[in-house]
Amino acid sequence: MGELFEYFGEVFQAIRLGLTLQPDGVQLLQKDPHANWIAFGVVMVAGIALLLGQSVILFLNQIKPVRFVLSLFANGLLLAVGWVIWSAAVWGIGRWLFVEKPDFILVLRVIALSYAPLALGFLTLMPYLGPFVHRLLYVWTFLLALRAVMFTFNVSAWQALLCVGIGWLILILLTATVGKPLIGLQNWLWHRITGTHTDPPTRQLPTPFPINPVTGDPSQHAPQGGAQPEPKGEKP
Amino acid sequence: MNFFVALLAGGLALLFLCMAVAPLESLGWYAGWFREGDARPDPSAAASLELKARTKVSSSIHPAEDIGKDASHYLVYLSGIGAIAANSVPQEEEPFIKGLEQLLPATKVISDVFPYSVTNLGLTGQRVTAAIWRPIEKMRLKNPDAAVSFLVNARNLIQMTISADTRYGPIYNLGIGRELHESLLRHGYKVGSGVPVTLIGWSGGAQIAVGAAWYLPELIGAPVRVISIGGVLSDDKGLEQIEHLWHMWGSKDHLSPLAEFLYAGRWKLLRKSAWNRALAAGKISLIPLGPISHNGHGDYFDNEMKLPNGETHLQYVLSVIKQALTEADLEPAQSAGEPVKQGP
Repeated sequence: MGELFEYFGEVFQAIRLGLTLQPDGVQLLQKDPHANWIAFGVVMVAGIALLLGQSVILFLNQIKPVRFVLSLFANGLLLAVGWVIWSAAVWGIGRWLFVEKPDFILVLRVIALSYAPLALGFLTLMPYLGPFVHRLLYVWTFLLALRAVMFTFNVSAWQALLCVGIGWLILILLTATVGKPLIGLQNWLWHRITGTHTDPPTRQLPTPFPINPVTGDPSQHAPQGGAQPEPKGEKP
Repeated sequence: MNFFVALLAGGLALLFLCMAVAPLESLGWYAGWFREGDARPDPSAAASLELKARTKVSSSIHPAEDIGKDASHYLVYLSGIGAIAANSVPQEEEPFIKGLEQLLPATKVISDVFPYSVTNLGLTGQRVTAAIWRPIEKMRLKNPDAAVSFLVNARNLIQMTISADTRYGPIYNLGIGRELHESLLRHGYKVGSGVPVTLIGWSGGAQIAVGAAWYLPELIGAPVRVISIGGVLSDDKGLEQIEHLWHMWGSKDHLSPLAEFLYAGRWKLLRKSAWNRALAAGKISLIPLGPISHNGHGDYFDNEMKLPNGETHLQYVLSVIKQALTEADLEPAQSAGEPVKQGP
Protein backbone atom coordinates (compact mmCIF):
# COMPACT_ATOMS: atom_id res chain seq x y z
CA MET A 1 0.00 0.00 0.00
CA GLY A 2 2.85 2.33 0.93
CA GLU A 3 4.48 1.67 -2.44
CA LEU A 4 1.25 2.56 -4.19
CA PHE A 5 1.08 5.92 -2.41
CA GLU A 6 4.75 6.46 -3.21
CA TYR A 7 4.03 5.68 -6.87
CA PHE A 8 1.13 8.14 -7.05
CA GLY A 9 3.28 10.71 -5.28
CA GLU A 10 5.93 10.33 -7.98
CA VAL A 11 3.33 10.51 -10.75
CA PHE A 12 1.94 13.77 -9.39
CA GLN A 13 5.45 15.12 -8.87
CA ALA A 14 6.19 14.28 -12.51
CA ILE A 15 2.99 16.08 -13.56
CA ARG A 16 3.94 19.11 -11.48
CA LEU A 17 7.42 19.22 -12.98
CA GLY A 18 6.08 18.36 -16.42
CA LEU A 19 3.78 21.40 -16.47
CA THR A 20 6.84 23.48 -17.23
CA LEU A 21 9.00 20.57 -18.47
CA GLN A 22 11.65 21.42 -15.94
CA PRO A 23 14.97 19.54 -16.09
CA ASP A 24 14.11 18.05 -12.66
CA GLY A 25 11.16 16.30 -14.25
CA VAL A 26 13.31 14.86 -17.02
CA GLN A 27 15.89 13.76 -14.46
CA LEU A 28 13.17 12.07 -12.45
CA LEU A 29 12.23 10.02 -15.49
CA GLN A 30 15.89 9.31 -16.37
CA LYS A 31 16.98 8.06 -12.96
CA ASP A 32 13.94 6.52 -11.33
CA PRO A 33 13.86 2.71 -11.64
CA HIS A 34 10.09 2.91 -12.19
CA ALA A 35 10.39 5.69 -14.76
CA ASN A 36 8.36 3.89 -17.44
CA TRP A 37 5.50 3.31 -15.01
CA ILE A 38 5.64 6.92 -13.83
CA ALA A 39 5.47 8.09 -17.46
CA PHE A 40 2.54 5.73 -18.03
CA GLY A 41 0.88 7.11 -14.89
CA VAL A 42 1.18 10.68 -16.18
CA VAL A 43 -0.55 9.74 -19.44
CA MET A 44 -3.23 7.72 -17.62
CA VAL A 45 -4.06 10.64 -15.32
CA ALA A 46 -4.21 12.90 -18.39
CA GLY A 47 -6.59 10.50 -20.16
CA ILE A 48 -8.85 10.18 -17.12
CA ALA A 49 -8.92 13.94 -16.52
CA LEU A 50 -9.62 14.67 -20.19
CA LEU A 51 -12.67 12.45 -20.30
CA LEU A 52 -13.85 13.71 -16.93
CA GLY A 53 -13.81 17.20 -18.43
CA GLN A 54 -15.94 16.00 -21.33
CA SER A 55 -18.09 13.66 -19.26
CA VAL A 56 -21.28 15.37 -20.40
CA ILE A 57 -21.05 12.80 -23.23
CA LEU A 58 -21.32 9.97 -20.69
CA PHE A 59 -24.03 11.62 -18.60
CA LEU A 60 -26.12 12.26 -21.70
CA ASN A 61 -26.08 8.52 -22.26
CA GLN A 62 -27.24 7.98 -18.68
CA ILE A 63 -24.52 5.44 -18.02
CA LYS A 64 -24.18 3.84 -14.59
CA PRO A 65 -21.46 4.98 -12.15
CA VAL A 66 -19.46 1.75 -12.56
CA ARG A 67 -19.35 2.10 -16.34
CA PHE A 68 -18.53 5.76 -15.89
CA VAL A 69 -15.39 4.89 -13.90
CA LEU A 70 -14.47 2.13 -16.37
CA SER A 71 -14.84 4.62 -19.23
CA LEU A 72 -12.45 7.02 -17.55
CA PHE A 73 -9.80 4.32 -17.20
CA ALA A 74 -10.45 3.14 -20.76
CA ASN A 75 -9.82 6.64 -22.00
CA GLY A 76 -6.56 6.67 -20.04
CA LEU A 77 -5.49 3.45 -21.76
CA LEU A 78 -6.49 4.76 -25.19
CA LEU A 79 -4.43 7.88 -24.61
CA ALA A 80 -1.52 5.67 -23.53
CA VAL A 81 -1.72 3.82 -26.86
CA GLY A 82 -1.68 7.18 -28.61
CA TRP A 83 1.30 8.24 -26.51
CA VAL A 84 3.33 5.27 -27.76
CA ILE A 85 2.32 5.93 -31.40
CA TRP A 86 3.08 9.63 -31.12
CA SER A 87 6.42 9.02 -29.42
CA ALA A 88 7.38 6.50 -32.12
CA ALA A 89 6.52 9.03 -34.82
CA VAL A 90 8.58 11.77 -33.16
CA TRP A 91 11.49 9.38 -32.50
CA GLY A 92 11.52 8.09 -36.12
CA ILE A 93 11.29 11.54 -37.69
CA GLY A 94 13.85 12.98 -35.26
CA ARG A 95 16.37 10.24 -36.05
CA TRP A 96 15.83 10.86 -39.77
CA LEU A 97 16.12 14.65 -39.51
CA PHE A 98 18.65 15.30 -36.78
CA VAL A 99 22.20 14.31 -35.82
CA GLU A 100 21.35 13.30 -32.24
CA LYS A 101 20.04 9.71 -31.99
CA PRO A 102 18.42 9.31 -28.54
CA ASP A 103 16.94 6.02 -27.32
CA PHE A 104 13.26 5.46 -27.97
CA ILE A 105 12.70 4.98 -24.23
CA LEU A 106 14.04 8.48 -23.48
CA VAL A 107 11.78 10.05 -26.12
CA LEU A 108 8.85 8.05 -24.77
CA ARG A 109 9.45 9.26 -21.21
CA VAL A 110 10.00 12.91 -22.09
CA ILE A 111 6.99 13.00 -24.42
CA ALA A 112 4.93 11.62 -21.51
CA LEU A 113 5.82 14.72 -19.52
CA SER A 114 4.36 16.90 -22.27
CA TYR A 115 0.96 15.33 -21.46
CA ALA A 116 1.09 16.87 -17.97
CA PRO A 117 -1.21 19.87 -18.72
CA LEU A 118 -3.92 17.45 -19.80
CA ALA A 119 -4.07 16.29 -16.17
CA LEU A 120 -5.98 19.54 -15.65
CA GLY A 121 -8.46 18.45 -18.34
CA PHE A 122 -11.18 18.02 -15.71
CA LEU A 123 -11.40 21.83 -15.67
CA THR A 124 -13.13 21.58 -19.06
CA LEU A 125 -16.20 20.80 -16.94
CA MET A 126 -16.36 24.45 -15.88
CA PRO A 127 -19.38 26.20 -17.35
CA TYR A 128 -18.61 29.08 -19.71
CA LEU A 129 -14.81 28.91 -19.25
CA GLY A 130 -14.47 25.16 -19.89
CA PRO A 131 -14.13 25.09 -23.71
CA PHE A 132 -11.55 27.89 -23.54
CA VAL A 133 -9.53 26.04 -20.90
CA HIS A 134 -9.76 22.89 -23.04
CA ARG A 135 -8.09 24.63 -25.98
CA LEU A 136 -5.56 26.29 -23.71
CA LEU A 137 -4.45 22.92 -22.34
CA TYR A 138 -3.90 21.56 -25.85
CA VAL A 139 -1.80 24.59 -26.79
CA TRP A 140 0.20 24.12 -23.60
CA THR A 141 0.71 20.43 -24.42
CA PHE A 142 1.83 21.31 -27.94
CA LEU A 143 4.40 23.79 -26.64
CA LEU A 144 5.71 21.22 -24.18
CA ALA A 145 5.97 18.64 -26.98
CA LEU A 146 8.14 21.12 -28.88
CA ARG A 147 10.31 21.57 -25.80
CA ALA A 148 10.54 17.80 -25.36
CA VAL A 149 11.83 17.42 -28.93
CA MET A 150 14.28 20.31 -28.42
CA PHE A 151 15.59 18.60 -25.30
CA THR A 152 15.86 15.01 -26.56
CA PHE A 153 17.32 15.84 -30.00
CA ASN A 154 19.25 18.92 -28.88
CA VAL A 155 17.76 21.07 -31.66
CA SER A 156 16.32 24.60 -32.05
CA ALA A 157 12.64 25.51 -31.67
CA TRP A 158 12.17 25.74 -35.45
CA GLN A 159 13.69 22.31 -36.00
CA ALA A 160 11.47 20.90 -33.27
CA LEU A 161 8.45 22.53 -34.92
CA LEU A 162 9.38 20.88 -38.22
CA CYS A 163 9.66 17.48 -36.51
CA VAL A 164 6.33 17.83 -34.66
CA GLY A 165 4.65 19.22 -37.81
CA ILE A 166 5.76 16.29 -39.96
CA GLY A 167 4.72 13.90 -37.19
CA TRP A 168 1.28 15.49 -37.05
CA LEU A 169 0.83 15.25 -40.84
CA ILE A 170 1.84 11.58 -40.76
CA LEU A 171 -0.72 10.90 -38.03
CA ILE A 172 -3.44 12.59 -40.09
CA LEU A 173 -2.50 10.35 -43.02
CA LEU A 174 -2.48 7.28 -40.79
CA THR A 175 -5.87 8.21 -39.36
CA ALA A 176 -7.35 8.36 -42.85
CA THR A 177 -5.64 5.21 -44.14
CA VAL A 178 -3.99 2.31 -42.33
CA GLY A 179 -5.00 3.62 -38.92
CA LYS A 180 -8.67 2.95 -39.61
CA PRO A 181 -8.72 -0.58 -38.17
CA LEU A 182 -7.11 0.75 -35.00
CA ILE A 183 -9.74 3.50 -34.76
CA GLY A 184 -12.41 0.88 -35.39
CA LEU A 185 -10.98 -1.19 -32.53
CA GLN A 186 -10.90 1.88 -30.33
CA ASN A 187 -14.57 2.63 -31.10
CA TRP A 188 -15.59 -0.99 -30.51
CA LEU A 189 -13.84 -1.02 -27.15
CA TRP A 190 -15.48 2.28 -26.26
CA HIS A 191 -18.95 1.00 -27.08
CA ARG A 192 -18.35 -2.21 -25.11
CA ILE A 193 -17.15 -0.38 -22.01
CA THR A 194 -19.65 2.47 -21.95
CA GLY A 195 -22.53 0.29 -23.08
CA THR A 196 -23.68 2.98 -25.50
CA HIS A 197 -23.70 3.50 -29.25
CA THR A 198 -22.41 7.02 -29.02
CA ASP A 199 -19.05 8.01 -30.49
CA PRO A 200 -15.95 8.21 -28.31
CA PRO A 201 -14.52 11.66 -27.59
CA THR A 202 -11.85 11.21 -30.27
CA ARG A 203 -12.53 9.64 -33.65
CA GLN A 204 -8.87 9.52 -34.62
CA LEU A 205 -5.62 8.01 -33.46
CA PRO A 206 -5.47 9.10 -29.82
CA THR A 207 -2.69 11.69 -30.01
CA PRO A 208 -2.32 14.69 -27.74
CA PHE A 209 -3.14 16.96 -30.69
CA PRO A 210 -6.74 16.63 -31.75
CA ILE A 211 -7.33 16.42 -35.48
CA ASN A 212 -11.07 16.90 -34.86
CA PRO A 213 -11.05 18.72 -31.54
CA VAL A 214 -13.95 17.90 -29.28
CA THR A 215 -15.51 20.77 -27.41
CA GLY A 216 -18.06 18.71 -25.58
CA ASP A 217 -20.99 19.89 -27.69
CA PRO A 218 -23.71 17.43 -26.70
CA SER A 219 -25.22 17.47 -30.18
CA GLN A 220 -22.08 15.71 -31.47
CA HIS A 221 -22.53 12.91 -29.01
CA ALA A 222 -26.25 12.48 -28.74
CA PRO A 223 -26.84 8.78 -28.36
CA GLN A 224 -28.84 6.85 -30.88
CA GLY A 225 -32.46 6.63 -29.85
CA GLY A 226 -32.75 10.31 -29.11
CA ALA A 227 -31.57 10.62 -25.54
CA GLN A 228 -30.75 14.23 -26.27
CA PRO A 229 -33.14 16.09 -24.02
CA GLU A 230 -35.14 18.06 -26.49
CA PRO A 231 -38.82 18.22 -27.13
CA LYS A 232 -38.51 20.32 -30.27
CA GLY A 233 -37.07 19.69 -33.70
CA GLU A 234 -33.81 21.58 -33.74
CA LYS A 235 -31.20 20.79 -31.15
CA PRO A 236 -30.75 23.46 -28.55
CA MET B 1 3.63 39.25 -0.35
CA ASN B 2 4.12 35.53 -0.95
CA PHE B 3 1.33 34.83 1.50
CA PHE B 4 -1.12 36.97 -0.46
CA VAL B 5 -0.06 35.43 -3.77
CA ALA B 6 -0.55 31.98 -2.26
CA LEU B 7 -3.93 33.05 -0.87
CA LEU B 8 -5.01 34.38 -4.26
CA ALA B 9 -3.80 31.25 -6.05
CA GLY B 10 -5.56 29.06 -3.48
CA GLY B 11 -8.77 31.05 -3.84
CA LEU B 12 -8.67 30.80 -7.63
CA ALA B 13 -7.97 27.07 -7.47
CA LEU B 14 -10.94 26.62 -5.12
CA LEU B 15 -13.17 28.69 -7.40
CA PHE B 16 -12.16 26.66 -10.47
CA LEU B 17 -12.73 23.44 -8.57
CA CYS B 18 -16.20 24.58 -7.45
CA MET B 19 -17.01 25.60 -11.02
CA ALA B 20 -15.82 22.24 -12.37
CA VAL B 21 -17.91 20.30 -9.87
CA ALA B 22 -21.04 22.46 -10.25
CA PRO B 23 -22.47 20.87 -13.44
CA LEU B 24 -22.35 17.42 -11.85
CA GLU B 25 -25.56 18.13 -9.90
CA SER B 26 -27.69 18.51 -13.02
CA LEU B 27 -25.72 15.95 -15.05
CA GLY B 28 -26.03 13.40 -12.24
CA TRP B 29 -29.74 14.15 -11.98
CA TYR B 30 -30.19 13.52 -15.71
CA ALA B 31 -28.20 10.28 -15.54
CA GLY B 32 -30.26 9.13 -12.54
CA TRP B 33 -27.31 9.08 -10.15
CA PHE B 34 -28.72 11.46 -7.59
CA ARG B 35 -32.18 11.20 -6.14
CA GLU B 36 -32.21 14.54 -4.38
CA GLY B 37 -35.85 15.41 -4.83
CA ASP B 38 -36.61 13.88 -8.18
CA ALA B 39 -36.73 10.80 -10.35
CA ARG B 40 -34.58 10.09 -13.37
CA PRO B 41 -35.86 11.80 -16.53
CA ASP B 42 -36.99 9.66 -19.42
CA PRO B 43 -34.39 9.57 -22.20
CA SER B 44 -36.65 8.34 -25.01
CA ALA B 45 -36.96 10.24 -28.26
CA ALA B 46 -40.39 11.50 -27.29
CA ALA B 47 -39.11 13.00 -24.07
CA SER B 48 -41.66 15.76 -24.07
CA LEU B 49 -44.56 13.41 -24.62
CA GLU B 50 -43.34 11.22 -21.81
CA LEU B 51 -43.18 14.26 -19.61
CA LYS B 52 -46.73 15.14 -20.55
CA ALA B 53 -47.90 11.62 -19.71
CA ARG B 54 -46.15 11.77 -16.37
CA THR B 55 -47.67 15.13 -15.76
CA LYS B 56 -51.16 13.66 -15.92
CA VAL B 57 -50.19 11.19 -13.23
CA SER B 58 -48.48 13.77 -11.10
CA SER B 59 -51.41 16.13 -11.23
CA SER B 60 -53.48 13.44 -9.58
CA ILE B 61 -50.77 12.81 -7.01
CA HIS B 62 -50.35 16.49 -6.18
CA PRO B 63 -53.81 18.01 -6.20
CA ALA B 64 -53.69 21.56 -7.41
CA GLU B 65 -53.40 23.99 -4.54
CA ASP B 66 -55.95 26.37 -5.87
CA ILE B 67 -58.10 24.62 -8.44
CA GLY B 68 -61.19 26.62 -9.18
CA LYS B 69 -59.43 29.97 -9.22
CA ASP B 70 -59.36 30.30 -12.99
CA ALA B 71 -56.88 32.82 -14.26
CA SER B 72 -56.55 34.13 -17.78
CA HIS B 73 -52.80 34.46 -17.40
CA TYR B 74 -50.09 32.86 -15.25
CA LEU B 75 -46.96 34.67 -14.16
CA VAL B 76 -44.11 32.64 -12.65
CA TYR B 77 -41.45 34.55 -10.76
CA LEU B 78 -37.86 33.27 -10.84
CA SER B 79 -35.71 34.86 -8.19
CA GLY B 80 -32.27 36.40 -8.55
CA ILE B 81 -29.07 34.65 -7.54
CA GLY B 82 -29.57 35.57 -3.88
CA ALA B 83 -32.28 32.93 -3.39
CA ILE B 84 -31.64 30.04 -1.00
CA ALA B 85 -34.89 28.25 -1.80
CA ALA B 86 -38.18 29.02 -3.51
CA ASN B 87 -39.55 30.20 -0.15
CA SER B 88 -36.33 31.85 0.98
CA VAL B 89 -35.63 34.77 -1.28
CA PRO B 90 -33.89 38.01 -0.29
CA GLN B 91 -36.31 40.15 1.77
CA GLU B 92 -36.34 42.95 -0.79
CA GLU B 93 -38.00 40.68 -3.36
CA GLU B 94 -41.04 39.94 -1.20
CA PRO B 95 -42.77 43.34 -1.66
CA PHE B 96 -42.16 42.98 -5.38
CA ILE B 97 -43.95 39.62 -5.52
CA LYS B 98 -46.81 41.01 -3.39
CA GLY B 99 -46.93 44.04 -5.66
CA LEU B 100 -47.33 41.83 -8.72
CA GLU B 101 -50.21 39.99 -7.06
CA GLN B 102 -51.99 43.23 -6.20
CA LEU B 103 -51.39 45.00 -9.48
CA LEU B 104 -52.34 42.17 -11.85
CA PRO B 105 -55.94 41.09 -11.09
CA ALA B 106 -56.31 38.77 -14.08
CA THR B 107 -53.01 37.04 -13.42
CA LYS B 108 -52.14 34.17 -11.12
CA VAL B 109 -48.70 34.93 -9.68
CA ILE B 110 -46.56 31.91 -8.75
CA SER B 111 -43.30 32.07 -6.84
CA ASP B 112 -42.59 28.53 -5.65
CA VAL B 113 -39.92 27.53 -8.17
CA PHE B 114 -36.27 27.65 -7.14
CA PRO B 115 -34.49 28.24 -10.45
CA TYR B 116 -31.04 27.23 -9.23
CA SER B 117 -31.81 23.54 -8.83
CA VAL B 118 -33.06 21.14 -11.50
CA THR B 119 -35.21 19.44 -8.88
CA ASN B 120 -36.57 22.59 -7.20
CA LEU B 121 -34.64 21.59 -4.10
CA GLY B 122 -33.56 24.59 -2.07
CA LEU B 123 -30.05 24.85 -0.70
CA THR B 124 -31.28 24.05 2.80
CA GLY B 125 -33.34 21.05 1.66
CA GLN B 126 -32.40 17.37 1.77
CA ARG B 127 -29.04 17.74 0.10
CA VAL B 128 -25.50 16.84 1.13
CA THR B 129 -24.41 20.47 1.41
CA ALA B 130 -27.46 21.64 3.40
CA ALA B 131 -25.36 21.89 6.58
CA ILE B 132 -23.34 24.66 4.93
CA TRP B 133 -26.34 26.68 3.78
CA ARG B 134 -28.55 26.50 6.90
CA PRO B 135 -26.31 28.69 9.11
CA ILE B 136 -25.91 31.11 6.20
CA GLU B 137 -29.69 31.36 5.87
CA LYS B 138 -29.99 32.04 9.62
CA MET B 139 -27.32 34.74 9.42
CA ARG B 140 -29.09 36.35 6.49
CA LEU B 141 -32.41 36.34 8.31
CA LYS B 142 -30.76 38.27 11.14
CA ASN B 143 -28.82 40.56 8.85
CA PRO B 144 -29.92 40.72 5.18
CA ASP B 145 -26.58 42.32 4.26
CA ALA B 146 -24.46 39.61 5.91
CA ALA B 147 -21.22 39.17 3.98
CA VAL B 148 -21.56 35.38 3.85
CA SER B 149 -24.54 35.85 1.51
CA PHE B 150 -22.03 36.20 -1.29
CA LEU B 151 -21.51 32.43 -1.09
CA VAL B 152 -25.16 31.91 -2.04
CA ASN B 153 -24.78 34.42 -4.88
CA ALA B 154 -21.59 32.71 -6.12
CA ARG B 155 -23.17 29.26 -6.01
CA ASN B 156 -26.28 30.38 -7.88
CA LEU B 157 -24.28 32.46 -10.35
CA ILE B 158 -22.41 29.31 -11.37
CA GLN B 159 -25.75 27.51 -11.81
CA MET B 160 -26.87 30.36 -14.04
CA THR B 161 -23.80 29.91 -16.24
CA ILE B 162 -24.69 26.21 -16.47
CA SER B 163 -28.09 27.20 -17.85
CA ALA B 164 -26.38 29.42 -20.44
CA ASP B 165 -23.72 26.85 -21.38
CA THR B 166 -24.51 25.11 -24.67
CA ARG B 167 -23.17 21.83 -23.28
CA TYR B 168 -25.19 21.72 -20.07
CA GLY B 169 -28.05 24.09 -20.83
CA PRO B 170 -30.22 21.48 -22.59
CA ILE B 171 -30.12 19.31 -19.46
CA TYR B 172 -30.34 22.06 -16.85
CA ASN B 173 -33.16 23.88 -18.59
CA LEU B 174 -35.07 20.63 -19.05
CA GLY B 175 -35.08 20.21 -15.27
CA ILE B 176 -36.27 23.76 -14.70
CA GLY B 177 -38.88 23.40 -17.47
CA ARG B 178 -40.26 20.34 -15.68
CA GLU B 179 -40.37 22.16 -12.37
CA LEU B 180 -42.17 25.13 -13.91
CA HIS B 181 -44.66 22.72 -15.44
CA GLU B 182 -45.22 20.97 -12.10
CA SER B 183 -45.63 24.29 -10.36
CA LEU B 184 -48.23 25.47 -12.87
CA LEU B 185 -50.18 22.27 -12.29
CA ARG B 186 -50.03 22.76 -8.54
CA HIS B 187 -51.64 26.14 -9.05
CA GLY B 188 -54.51 24.85 -11.15
CA TYR B 189 -53.11 25.30 -14.64
CA LYS B 190 -54.82 23.10 -17.20
CA VAL B 191 -52.44 21.74 -19.82
CA GLY B 192 -53.81 22.30 -23.30
CA SER B 193 -56.09 25.14 -22.17
CA GLY B 194 -53.91 27.58 -24.09
CA VAL B 195 -53.82 29.98 -21.12
CA PRO B 196 -50.69 32.07 -21.67
CA VAL B 197 -47.79 31.90 -19.26
CA THR B 198 -45.18 34.56 -18.60
CA LEU B 199 -41.93 33.87 -16.79
CA ILE B 200 -40.52 36.84 -14.95
CA GLY B 201 -36.94 36.65 -13.81
CA TRP B 202 -34.63 39.00 -12.03
CA SER B 203 -30.90 38.87 -12.78
CA GLY B 204 -29.87 35.22 -13.20
CA GLY B 205 -33.50 34.13 -12.94
CA ALA B 206 -34.15 35.83 -16.29
CA GLN B 207 -31.49 33.77 -18.07
CA ILE B 208 -32.91 30.58 -16.60
CA ALA B 209 -36.41 31.66 -17.63
CA VAL B 210 -35.27 32.05 -21.25
CA GLY B 211 -33.46 28.69 -21.09
CA ALA B 212 -36.49 26.85 -19.70
CA ALA B 213 -38.68 28.55 -22.31
CA TRP B 214 -37.21 26.13 -24.86
CA TYR B 215 -39.24 23.34 -23.27
CA LEU B 216 -42.21 24.96 -21.57
CA PRO B 217 -44.46 25.89 -24.55
CA GLU B 218 -44.64 22.28 -25.67
CA LEU B 219 -45.08 20.96 -22.14
CA ILE B 220 -48.12 23.16 -21.47
CA GLY B 221 -49.39 23.62 -25.01
CA ALA B 222 -49.52 27.39 -24.66
CA PRO B 223 -47.45 30.44 -25.58
CA VAL B 224 -44.73 31.52 -23.16
CA ARG B 225 -43.39 35.03 -22.71
CA VAL B 226 -40.49 36.23 -20.60
CA ILE B 227 -39.92 39.43 -18.63
CA SER B 228 -36.31 40.10 -17.71
CA ILE B 229 -35.57 42.58 -14.93
CA GLY B 230 -31.89 43.35 -15.10
CA GLY B 231 -31.42 39.91 -16.63
CA VAL B 232 -27.96 38.64 -17.43
CA LEU B 233 -29.10 37.08 -20.69
CA SER B 234 -27.15 34.92 -23.09
CA ASP B 235 -28.20 34.18 -26.68
CA ASP B 236 -30.07 31.13 -25.47
CA LYS B 237 -31.89 28.99 -28.03
CA GLY B 238 -34.96 29.31 -25.80
CA LEU B 239 -35.48 32.69 -27.45
CA GLU B 240 -36.71 30.80 -30.51
CA GLN B 241 -39.61 29.31 -28.57
CA ILE B 242 -40.85 32.35 -26.72
CA GLU B 243 -43.65 34.58 -27.88
CA HIS B 244 -41.97 37.75 -26.63
CA LEU B 245 -39.20 38.96 -24.34
CA TRP B 246 -39.33 42.24 -22.46
CA HIS B 247 -35.83 43.03 -21.30
CA MET B 248 -35.80 45.86 -18.73
CA TRP B 249 -32.73 47.30 -17.12
CA GLY B 250 -31.59 50.39 -15.24
CA SER B 251 -28.89 52.76 -16.39
CA LYS B 252 -27.00 52.20 -13.11
CA ASP B 253 -27.16 48.43 -13.54
CA HIS B 254 -23.66 47.43 -14.60
CA LEU B 255 -24.23 43.67 -14.41
CA SER B 256 -27.03 43.22 -16.90
CA PRO B 257 -25.19 44.93 -19.82
CA LEU B 258 -22.13 42.79 -19.05
CA ALA B 259 -23.89 39.91 -20.80
CA GLU B 260 -23.65 41.87 -24.07
CA PHE B 261 -19.88 41.40 -23.90
CA LEU B 262 -19.61 38.03 -22.20
CA TYR B 263 -21.86 36.11 -24.60
CA ALA B 264 -20.66 36.25 -28.19
CA GLY B 265 -24.18 35.59 -29.47
CA ARG B 266 -25.19 39.01 -28.15
CA TRP B 267 -22.61 40.76 -30.32
CA LYS B 268 -24.12 42.61 -33.25
CA LEU B 269 -21.53 41.00 -35.53
CA LEU B 270 -23.13 37.57 -35.15
CA ARG B 271 -26.35 38.29 -36.98
CA LYS B 272 -27.52 34.68 -37.04
CA SER B 273 -27.36 34.18 -33.29
CA ALA B 274 -30.62 33.38 -31.51
CA TRP B 275 -30.55 36.79 -29.82
CA ASN B 276 -30.02 38.80 -33.00
CA ARG B 277 -32.61 36.81 -34.93
CA ALA B 278 -35.18 37.34 -32.17
CA LEU B 279 -34.30 41.03 -32.09
CA ALA B 280 -34.69 41.33 -35.86
CA ALA B 281 -38.02 39.52 -35.69
CA GLY B 282 -39.31 42.07 -33.18
CA LYS B 283 -39.61 39.45 -30.44
CA ILE B 284 -37.50 41.44 -27.99
CA SER B 285 -38.53 44.75 -26.45
CA LEU B 286 -35.64 46.61 -24.84
CA ILE B 287 -36.96 48.82 -22.06
CA PRO B 288 -34.60 51.19 -20.23
CA LEU B 289 -35.88 51.91 -16.73
CA GLY B 290 -33.87 54.99 -15.84
CA PRO B 291 -31.32 55.43 -13.06
CA ILE B 292 -31.82 52.12 -11.26
CA SER B 293 -29.01 49.84 -10.07
CA HIS B 294 -28.79 46.03 -10.16
CA ASN B 295 -28.83 45.38 -6.45
CA GLY B 296 -28.42 47.04 -3.09
CA HIS B 297 -29.55 50.59 -2.38
CA GLY B 298 -31.41 52.03 -5.38
CA ASP B 299 -32.11 48.71 -7.06
CA TYR B 300 -35.25 47.56 -8.88
CA PHE B 301 -37.05 46.71 -5.62
CA ASP B 302 -36.17 49.85 -3.69
CA ASN B 303 -39.42 51.30 -2.38
CA GLU B 304 -37.84 54.41 -0.87
CA MET B 305 -35.70 55.96 -3.58
CA LYS B 306 -37.72 57.94 -6.07
CA LEU B 307 -37.31 58.53 -9.78
CA PRO B 308 -37.71 61.98 -11.36
CA ASN B 309 -41.38 61.17 -12.06
CA GLY B 310 -42.02 60.82 -8.30
CA GLU B 311 -42.52 57.05 -8.25
CA THR B 312 -40.32 54.76 -6.18
CA HIS B 313 -38.19 52.29 -8.10
CA LEU B 314 -40.48 49.45 -7.08
CA GLN B 315 -43.64 51.28 -8.10
CA TYR B 316 -42.18 52.22 -11.45
CA VAL B 317 -40.89 48.72 -12.27
CA LEU B 318 -44.27 47.23 -11.36
CA SER B 319 -46.12 49.76 -13.49
CA VAL B 320 -43.90 49.11 -16.51
CA ILE B 321 -44.53 45.38 -16.13
CA LYS B 322 -48.26 46.00 -15.95
CA GLN B 323 -48.13 48.18 -19.04
CA ALA B 324 -46.22 45.52 -21.00
CA LEU B 325 -48.70 42.83 -20.04
CA THR B 326 -51.65 45.08 -20.83
CA GLU B 327 -50.29 45.89 -24.27
CA ALA B 328 -49.94 42.16 -24.90
CA ASP B 329 -53.61 41.69 -23.90
CA LEU B 330 -52.63 39.59 -20.90
CA GLU B 331 -54.14 42.04 -18.44
CA PRO B 332 -57.31 44.14 -18.85
CA ALA B 333 -56.81 47.57 -20.36
CA GLN B 334 -56.01 50.36 -17.95
CA SER B 335 -58.94 52.27 -16.53
CA ALA B 336 -59.78 55.66 -18.01
CA GLY B 337 -58.36 57.60 -15.10
CA GLU B 338 -55.06 55.73 -15.10
CA PRO B 339 -52.29 57.66 -16.87
CA VAL B 340 -50.35 56.08 -19.71
CA LYS B 341 -46.75 55.30 -18.70
CA GLN B 342 -44.32 57.78 -20.16
CA GLY B 343 -40.88 57.27 -18.68
CA PRO B 344 -38.95 57.59 -15.44
